Amino acid sequence: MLEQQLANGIFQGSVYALFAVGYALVFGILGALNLAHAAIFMWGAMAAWAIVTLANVPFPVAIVIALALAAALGVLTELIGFRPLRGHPLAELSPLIASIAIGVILQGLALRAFGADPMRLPADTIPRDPVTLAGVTITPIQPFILMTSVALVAALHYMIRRTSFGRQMRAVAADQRTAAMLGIDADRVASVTFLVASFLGGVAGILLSLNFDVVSWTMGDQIQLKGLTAIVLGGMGSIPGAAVGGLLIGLLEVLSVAFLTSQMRDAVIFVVFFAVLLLRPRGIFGRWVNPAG
Amino acid sequence: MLWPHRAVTALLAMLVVAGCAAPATTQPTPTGAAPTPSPTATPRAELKLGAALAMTGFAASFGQAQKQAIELAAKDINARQDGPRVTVVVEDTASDPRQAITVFQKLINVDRVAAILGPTSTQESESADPIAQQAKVPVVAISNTGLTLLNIGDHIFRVSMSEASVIPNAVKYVKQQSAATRAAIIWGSDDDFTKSGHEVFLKAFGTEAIPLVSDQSFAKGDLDFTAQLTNIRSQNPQVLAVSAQVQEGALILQQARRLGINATMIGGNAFNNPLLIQQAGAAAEGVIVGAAWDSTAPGPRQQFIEAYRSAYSAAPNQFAAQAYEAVFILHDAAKVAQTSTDRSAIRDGLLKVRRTGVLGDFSFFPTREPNYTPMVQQIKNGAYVVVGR
Repeated sequence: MLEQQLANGIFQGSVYALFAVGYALVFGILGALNLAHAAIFMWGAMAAWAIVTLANVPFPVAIVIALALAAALGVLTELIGFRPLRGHPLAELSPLIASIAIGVILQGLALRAFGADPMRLPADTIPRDPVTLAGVTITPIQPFILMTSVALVAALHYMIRRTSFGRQMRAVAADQRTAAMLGIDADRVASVTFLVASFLGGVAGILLSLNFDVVSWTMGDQIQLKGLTAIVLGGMGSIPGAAVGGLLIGLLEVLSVAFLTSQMRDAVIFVVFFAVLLLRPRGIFGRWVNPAG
Repeated sequence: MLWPHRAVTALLAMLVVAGCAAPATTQPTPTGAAPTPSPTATPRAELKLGAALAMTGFAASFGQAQKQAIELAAKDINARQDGPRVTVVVEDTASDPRQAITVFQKLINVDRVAAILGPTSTQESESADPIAQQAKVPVVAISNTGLTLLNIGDHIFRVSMSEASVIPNAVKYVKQQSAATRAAIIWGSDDDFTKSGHEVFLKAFGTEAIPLVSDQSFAKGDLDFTAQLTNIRSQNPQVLAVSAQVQEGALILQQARRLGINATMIGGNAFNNPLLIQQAGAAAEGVIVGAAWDSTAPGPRQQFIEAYRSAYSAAPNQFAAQAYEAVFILHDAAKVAQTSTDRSAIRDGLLKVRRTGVLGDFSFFPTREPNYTPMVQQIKNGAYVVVGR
């Protein structure tokens, strides 16, 4: 039973991780939380579903179009909700509020367009029959989910640490004004940051919808809180931190159900969350940054 | 993004046009009878009803179906030359008790409706119904199953049966069929409806002497139930009770079968919904559903299902059926009371309504609880089959 529970936790955690990384990327580079991220996550899954079902396009093609859409929504969010507010007296708060509004609008659009009922992908889109390996029951899609998540987080880490664009991102993260004086196009960096974060959010949405075979306009609601918890646990703005935080929450959820009671699940997560805030407020991987200088 | 949105909008527009065009052509003319006198001779009185429904928020899936059913009922009533015309003012409660209060105030004081249908969820009703009670406006609940709702006052009625009326029969049926000795339950711990289902299931297992071996809960909006189901699987129950709304319920059925749990699964009112079968697919086969509405009996039910299907190209669920019938019940109450505006007279009229319709033979108990027969259904070959009462 423990092997099964660990497997449950790892698969669930890997989707949380991929989702949380999108939050962390935007926060780490631009210092702002994008609360429309959960709506973009939902739109990734929703668009893939809609394109497959309504336009009868092969699933891989639909995924590519849906991810392009999710990335475009991210760029649009930055353009509408973040860029005009840069340098605003309440620069910390106003983009946050703007992103909440964009999230609500995106969710409302999905409700309008596709209705409130949850939907499934057509029967032959993905293999659904479970297999049992060494007492652990998994679906064929689950190893794929895990590998995709790990590969994408690793690729993102490489991009930030090892490429010249990654260097520009880190320069903007360190100080936007100085980076701009050094000839870095901060607007472009912001756009690309949102593009990448939203692409990852879209992938997480599609993976989650594949794992549970469901798409609905509310699917971003629960993961939003899990993602925020993950980035605080891991350390605000740290990519590896967000990934580890996401995985940790997936495992904590499952293990609290397995060894305590299911009614304690959310309590356990938030007790751990609270303990981290008290004992190590910068999170597991976070470096302490003094906002005063 | 643009094209699926546009395609859907275009599709909706087509449906609306089709829906408007269709009924105009079906005017039955009785053979040999004299032409019916022109209805312009005496203008029909107007019965103005308010509907407070969750069109957005977590209960939107129910609220939207209820709105469609209520509008269909008004159309069907107005097509017949019998009693007052019905107009319905629909307002969105956003699944939010505070907004439900505002909506009630508007319906009562601005629209001056004769009676109110709704709200969709019990927690909205607990907040908003006292407003109507105070203003002496009758309320007919169409999907509230909370145990204490009617204590709010003598103007609150409901056509929905509580889980306590439907679940014990289902548990009894399963015990008779399989002599089960181990039961497990999975339930939503943050929703009045699924919480009362949990209580009722535990009591029913006690009555039928089936020991409970695993008790697992989840939260609204969860997608992953494998941790709880893995616990349940390790206890090897023969019966698994699922007290969940249809969204979570469909996922639970799928994930339970995927993990290899082969217990007989039982659900309550929320599972009497074609969406469950559509969502859960093969995993819904064999599920036992204790429910208030028999969708299989011939007569008015099939006419309703047909009309709903052709108007909205989807099968109605139990809550839509209850909403549809509630409009007719209020219309009957207005006819009995011979008024379309006197709220107190309509309230008294409700207690005198006796009708045979979409819910079968229907009346209210003096307690304002509904009086009709629940049944036990089983899902077989992707359809509901009545297996007991």
